[in-house]
Parts: sequence; C-alpha cells; structure tokens
Amino acid sequence: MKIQKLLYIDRRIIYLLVAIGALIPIIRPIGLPVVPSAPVQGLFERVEELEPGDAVMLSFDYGPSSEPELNPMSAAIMRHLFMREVRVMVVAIFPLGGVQIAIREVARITSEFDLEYGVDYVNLGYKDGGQAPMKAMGVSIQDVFPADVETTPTEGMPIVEDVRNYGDIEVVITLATGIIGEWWANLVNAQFGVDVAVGCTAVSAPKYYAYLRSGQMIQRGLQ
Amino acid sequence: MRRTIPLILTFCVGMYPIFAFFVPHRVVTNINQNLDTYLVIVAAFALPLGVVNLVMSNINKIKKKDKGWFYSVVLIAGLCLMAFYGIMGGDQGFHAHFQWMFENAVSPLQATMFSLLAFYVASAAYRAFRARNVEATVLLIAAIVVMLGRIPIGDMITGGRLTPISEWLMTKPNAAAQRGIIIGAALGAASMQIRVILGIEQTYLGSGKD
Repeated sequence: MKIQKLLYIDRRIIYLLVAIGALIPIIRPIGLPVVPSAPVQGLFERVEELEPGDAVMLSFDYGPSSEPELNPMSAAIMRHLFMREVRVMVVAIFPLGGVQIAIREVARITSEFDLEYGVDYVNLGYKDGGQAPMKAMGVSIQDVFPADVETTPTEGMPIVEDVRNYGDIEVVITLATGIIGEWWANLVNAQFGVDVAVGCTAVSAPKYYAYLRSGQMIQRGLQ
Repeated sequence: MRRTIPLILTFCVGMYPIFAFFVPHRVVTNINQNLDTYLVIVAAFALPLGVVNLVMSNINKIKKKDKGWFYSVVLIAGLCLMAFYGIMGGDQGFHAHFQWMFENAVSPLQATMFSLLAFYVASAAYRAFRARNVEATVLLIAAIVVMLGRIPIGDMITGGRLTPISEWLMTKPNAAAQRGIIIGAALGAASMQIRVILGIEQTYLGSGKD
C-alpha cells in the first residue's frame, strides 16, 4: 500500500524535490570531484597530440538554453587549445544565439592569453544554411566567410589565408545542441575525413555513442 | 509546364552531385563546387520564407481574435524590433540595442524554457519508470545505473563501481539501438531523396492550385 502511494506521488512533490536538488548546489556548492569519462579523455589526448601552429575549427552550435551545460566545455576546450598554441577558427552554425555566445566566450577566454587576432585565432561569425556552409567549407572557408564577425574582410588575415579548407584543419570541435553535431559527423567527418569532436548536452549524449563507436567522433561530452 | 520545369531542375540538380562523386574530373568537380556555393544561397532563402509564414499565420490569428491573439502581437512586435536592430547593426547584427535585447530578453527566456523542462522531465521520468512489468523494471534499473554511473554524487555513493557498468550500457546496448535508429532514418531519407529526384514524390511542388 505504501509502495502504491509512492508510485502515485503528487507531481508537485517531485517538482519540489527537483527544486531543492537544483538549489542546494547553487546556494552551497558541494564541490564533488568530476571524473572525466573515456570519450572526454579521448579528446584531451587528441588535443595533446596537436603541434603548435596546427589549426582547429571550433563551432558554437548552441543557444542560451544550453549555456549552463556547454559554456564550461567551450571554456575548457579553448583554454586547452590556446595553451597548446593551436590556432583556432571560430564559427557558428546554430541560428538562435550561437554567434552572440561565441563573441562573449571567445573574448573572455582569449583575454587570458597573449594572442593576436587574425593570426592565432579568428571569429568568423554565423553562417545560415546549416549543412550548406559546412559542405562549402570543404572547398574554401574564405568563400563561405568573406568577412569575420566584425565584418572585417578575411582576405589578408594570416590564419584564413593559411587554413583554406578542411584539408588544413586537424580537428573540428562542435559544441552542439540538437542535430548539428550529427551533421558535422555525417558530412565533415564522413566526406572530408577530418576528426570531429562533439560537446553535447546530456540529453543528446546517447545518440552520439553510435558515432563514437564507429570512429566518426572523438568525444561526446563532458560526462 | 509549371510542374515539368521544376521536376527537370530537381532531377538535374539532384543527379549531378552523384555523378560528380563518381567522376572526379576537374571540370565536373568545379561545377559541383559551384553548386555547393549556390546551396548556401538557396538555403538562406529558407529563413525569409519561415519569417513570412510566421508573420502571416500570426496576423491571421490577430485578425480573427483567436484565443491567445495577444501573444501573436507580442511575437510580431519582438520579431520586428529584433529584425530592425539586427539590420541596423550590419551583417552580424551587433547594434547595441540588439545585443541588449539578446542578453536581457532572448537569453533569459530561453533559459527559463529549458529550466522548466527539468521539472517536467523529472515528473514524466518518475511516471515512465514505474516497475509495472519486466520490461519497465529493466528500463528502471538501467536508468538508475546510468544516472548514478555518470554523476559525481553517484561516484561518491557507489565508490565508482557503477561507472564501468554505465559505460557498458551506453556503448553496447544503447549504441546498438541508436545505430539501428540512425540507419533506419538514413535509409528512409535516402529513399525519399530518390523519390524526389525521380519525380515520384511531388508534394514539395504544392497542390497545383493557386
């Protein structure tokens, strides 16, 4: 009888428990250690293998709804890449605020390092069309992004002149919500052979395991 | 004629990339690369199409004073304001007002919507995972193991003993099921594309009535 009661518990009690569970760590952080999972370790090791001067494309494919989960990932990945002196090309394919988050986060992290814009990193901004610009960047990144996020022409920027297409990129890392991570794997990894890593929200993680197992992705999220 | 020309165009544009894939000649590849560039432009047209559709359906709602018509007014006002300041800000839309509205309206609204989901998902999961039969019990146990195996507090409670089991559940049964879903969806998409290219599927052309 007691179990039966527990099964039909009022949803407001569940809401209250969720609220308490969410509020306690905000009010008083517990500070539990975070153990990296195997796919996360896989991406860490891939970045460690990069040489100074190698190029990585970092795509901000999420909006404000996924910021709490994906901002820490973008910060950790950017710091790691810049510590390794890897050149970073930032793009945004997600239409609902990806570019605004990219501007804020890139400015925040790059301010911690001694970097030259257009040489060590560039923010190319947002391009509409989803898979269309992804595919077109396989031919020429500069054709897809003739100007950067501040509408400065990319022609003459050393990083853009040097990194012409996916052939010059070691890894594409996307911080993705929805289906965009799958597009990068299906299109960019499968057709151009570039390593793809996806930092995703927890709710999207299960579907990426199929790509991870097939070798189409390096990683699927920070736990 | 109004249907024949689009059908011929669809056939040619649909077949060419397949042809280019098997014929890697420079001339063929160049044309294919140009098609990719046109694709970016054509895909961008989906955005104004969506906006027109959204505006028309909401204006109709306002005209008819349907239930919740006031929300349509808010939607159109927000759309016009964001579009106005976005266009004023240049290519990437970084007018100060646009940025202010993004940071103070769009961002908190989206965050609120997603935060509310946590409550609904928790409630729905609680009801879905009731151990009513064998299958539901297996689902319940798997869910508990995966959840505890992937969060720091789970590691603390179990001493990390559930992590390998959780990883096995994700990499084996879950990946197998996901692969089945992905392959099924991909086959469905491929067959639909063949139908569109060959002109069997014509619903994208509309009903033919004005």
